[in-house]
Amino acid sequence: MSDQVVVLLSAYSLVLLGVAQGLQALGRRSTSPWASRTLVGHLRVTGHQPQPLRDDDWPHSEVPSLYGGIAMVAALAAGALSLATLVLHHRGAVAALPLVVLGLSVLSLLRLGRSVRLRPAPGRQRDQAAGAAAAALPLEADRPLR
Amino acid sequence: MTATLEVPAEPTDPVVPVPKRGLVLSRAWIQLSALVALTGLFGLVLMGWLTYTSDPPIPQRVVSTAGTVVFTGSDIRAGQDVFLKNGLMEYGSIFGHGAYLGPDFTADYLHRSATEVMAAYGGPRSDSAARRTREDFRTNRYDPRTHSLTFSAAQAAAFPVLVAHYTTLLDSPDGRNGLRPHAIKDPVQLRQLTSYFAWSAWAAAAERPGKRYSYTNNWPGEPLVANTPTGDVVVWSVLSLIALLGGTGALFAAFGRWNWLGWHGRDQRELRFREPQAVALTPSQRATAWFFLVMAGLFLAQTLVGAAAEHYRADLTSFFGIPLDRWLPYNVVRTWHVQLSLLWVSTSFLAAGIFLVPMITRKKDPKGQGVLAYALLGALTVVVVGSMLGEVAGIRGAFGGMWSWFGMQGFEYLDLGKFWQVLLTIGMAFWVLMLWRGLRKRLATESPGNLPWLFFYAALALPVVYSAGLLTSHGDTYTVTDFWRFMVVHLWVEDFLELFTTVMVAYIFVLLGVVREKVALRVIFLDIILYSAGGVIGTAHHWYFSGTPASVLSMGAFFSAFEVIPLTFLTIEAWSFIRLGARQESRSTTPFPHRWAVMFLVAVGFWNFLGAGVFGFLINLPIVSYYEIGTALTANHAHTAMMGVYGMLAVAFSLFALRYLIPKDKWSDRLARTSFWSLNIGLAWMSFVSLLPLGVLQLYHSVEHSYFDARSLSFITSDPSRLLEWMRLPGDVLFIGGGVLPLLWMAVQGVLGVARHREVLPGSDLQLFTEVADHDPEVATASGQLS
Ligand code: HEM
Ligand SMILES: [Fe+2]
Repeated sequence: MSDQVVVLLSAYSLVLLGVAQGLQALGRRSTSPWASRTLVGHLRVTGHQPQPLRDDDWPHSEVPSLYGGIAMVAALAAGALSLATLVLHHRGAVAALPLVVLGLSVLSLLRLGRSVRLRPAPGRQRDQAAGAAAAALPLEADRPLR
Repeated sequence: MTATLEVPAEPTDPVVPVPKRGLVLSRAWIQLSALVALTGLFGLVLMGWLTYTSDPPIPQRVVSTAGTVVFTGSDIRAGQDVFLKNGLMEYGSIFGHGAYLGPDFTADYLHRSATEVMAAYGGPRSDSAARRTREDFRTNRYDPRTHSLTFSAAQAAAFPVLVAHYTTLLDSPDGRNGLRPHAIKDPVQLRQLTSYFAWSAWAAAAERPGKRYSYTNNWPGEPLVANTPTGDVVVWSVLSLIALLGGTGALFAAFGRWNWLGWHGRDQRELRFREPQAVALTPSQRATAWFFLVMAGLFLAQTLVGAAAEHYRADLTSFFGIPLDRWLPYNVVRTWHVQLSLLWVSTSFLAAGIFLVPMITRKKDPKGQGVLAYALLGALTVVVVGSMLGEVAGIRGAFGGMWSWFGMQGFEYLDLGKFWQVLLTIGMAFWVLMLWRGLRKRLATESPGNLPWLFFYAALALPVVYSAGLLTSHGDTYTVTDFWRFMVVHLWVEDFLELFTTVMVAYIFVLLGVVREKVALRVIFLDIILYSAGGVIGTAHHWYFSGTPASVLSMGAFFSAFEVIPLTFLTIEAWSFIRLGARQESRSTTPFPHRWAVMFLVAVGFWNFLGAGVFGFLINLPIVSYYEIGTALTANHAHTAMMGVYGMLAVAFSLFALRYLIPKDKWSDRLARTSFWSLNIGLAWMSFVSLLPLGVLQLYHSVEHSYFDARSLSFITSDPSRLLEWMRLPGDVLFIGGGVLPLLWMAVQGVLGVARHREVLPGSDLQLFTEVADHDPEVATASGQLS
């Protein structure tokens, strides 16, 4: 395996770790319909104050685990790749790269493992914030929707 | 007030003529959709015309400057036949299209013959040799008046050398290259085949009349003949990026500005979901249990032959000591793998259509519908088995002159013989007829722009668009055959299946009572608009380098960028569906019965975004495609999009139906959960740990060295590649063992359970939910205007 390939694979694994963090962040975002852009128009037109939603309601409860699960696959893949690179290429200074990435993968897995179980970010407060924001918008009365 | 307003009024007495229900949506939606769709179609016809008029010519004869005939036009055509019927497009590729284990024969011939020519002129160290080689290949010496093409003496001398090379490769006594030993023995055929490759290599380097680039827009990159990306390739890549950014921005701005969708559904109503086993099933619905069993069986078969194909990549020389390549060489298992992917998914879609009709009409089956369903399944099985056996037999030389009818027709994705292809089309048309029988009375009471009609149109489009693939003919120039092939590979798969998906998913949610009909309709029309805007003309993203003019490349690059937009948007949409579902569950006193089917729909949304949107766009810019076409990055996109979107959807449909078909005590949420996680983790692992990094390495290699090099066996069997191929093993095992097998088991339970399920009794209720009360006056008015 050439040095070039080692660098490339390590860089790729590093990107995967970034993807893992990103996915996990996406999964933590509130999935309440009222926090979503999709409903901005609706909120403005009706000013409808939605009832808050509990974030442990299904399927909202599954969102962090779906995204978190895929994030863990990404982190695990990064770890496996850097470990394999290290096994095949452990001489020379360049071997430090996969070693560092491997360490980062382990850290990232530990972090993900903790947060995926914890099911963070209550969507409820954000719901209320979204509702309040909608109420502040100029209303066009109860115009029926089309 | 009890709200029954949303539920389309059913005629209480079929004898009394009922007034037609008016259009639910405003006419503007339909007009806009029609306008956009027609524009797309116009673009497609225009590109078809350009393809037919600007494809590289096939000369009547190729002569050397000394006047001797090197090969003839009929050699080239016969060579294409040899290529197809031996399944070489499922081994290597031509013009970048096909399988990825063998070489790209266009790039391969080009590189090898240029090396020969250069050597004849004095070798790589001589400047004049390099210049003369470039001149030989770039100068277009085709004379349209005499239909003859002139090769330089050195080019002509390279030809027999290449014949010898392909003879060694394809007539190898011990195989070990993925093909069976002595795959092609006949020296005449080997010569014809080489003529075909020589012609494609000529088109790849000779400059189009009046242009400074070749028929293939200078693809493949080859320093020996000065093939480098053209100005168009670069410019349209940039414009394509801008189109994507602009389009996405516009869509999100529109989202904020207008309430297009009005996702508020029935959220203030209280629903009571009916216990699945309390919903009566008609005979045709019960027949679908067998469809889903066949589906799961074909899915398993697809993954097993896929594993065999993968083994060839990881280790070409042996299959754990078994001489697998004698009977099941790489090109056979890959053909089956590709064909089965379409077949098992289609089986599920056909079944889902049949299953849904009685739920839509809430009526008993018309007479004999169940028998028709079984007949359809029988016919489908005959096509599957017949076409697959035909493919092996065809590759082994059976069927004589009828090879393209019964054997291996040989176009990747349209590998099945034309006879089977016709049967499959008829089968789908028969299915549409069945749906029509079931829906007929209901359709008569609806405006043709309403949901039941859209369901019918979406189904009708499937055989209609698939039948365009019938126009692919082995006698045409490759450029022309590819035009028709992508009517199926792109237009059918990426556009019309997406439409069918949206209609089905939206309808299911309407039937479950979680989404209002009007909202569902808006989503569908929005989809038609967005997909037609990008996807129809976007078909040309497959034709950048297959011999069409640069204008087709530019249209393809620009419009296909818009394809990504509905995919991002659909992810949001999928979540919105599910959000509504969640609100329902929190209110309904009976649990929502379809949580795992819905989770699979969430997966569809996720992979639509990642596999189709991100990984598709990753290879979509002409400049990227120029270096990566036919490499692992394509495989990465193909798997995450095809399995991620349509595979997951097919599973979602099957779980939806199986929830009714499997008796309560046999239904297992745990099995569904295992399958869900195994399929998703397995697919993600395959992409993240193997296909994607391999693709990155290969792309790097292609830019750094040459496309020829990146596709060579020495790259594929290099240490890093082999490592990455082996690393996917755990994911594949999980996918098959934890993902497919539980599904198969549930399908078996469905077949066993259907006998215990209660029949539809006259007057029994087919509705999936009951509404209890409506306690929000505001929403009551909003929905009141619906009826
Ligand atoms: C669910 C939607 C999609 C599915 C099922 C799908 C499936 C596929 C498949 C199976 C191939 C491989 C064809 C072959 O090997 O010849 C392919 C190729 C390709 N796809 Fe998609 N695709 C989807 C969406 C997209 C999107 C949205 C884009 C980009 C805008 C895209 C861009 C491409 C390109 C450029 C290729 C050609 C790659 C090559 O020939 O090397 N696809 N797609
Ligand atoms: Fe496509």
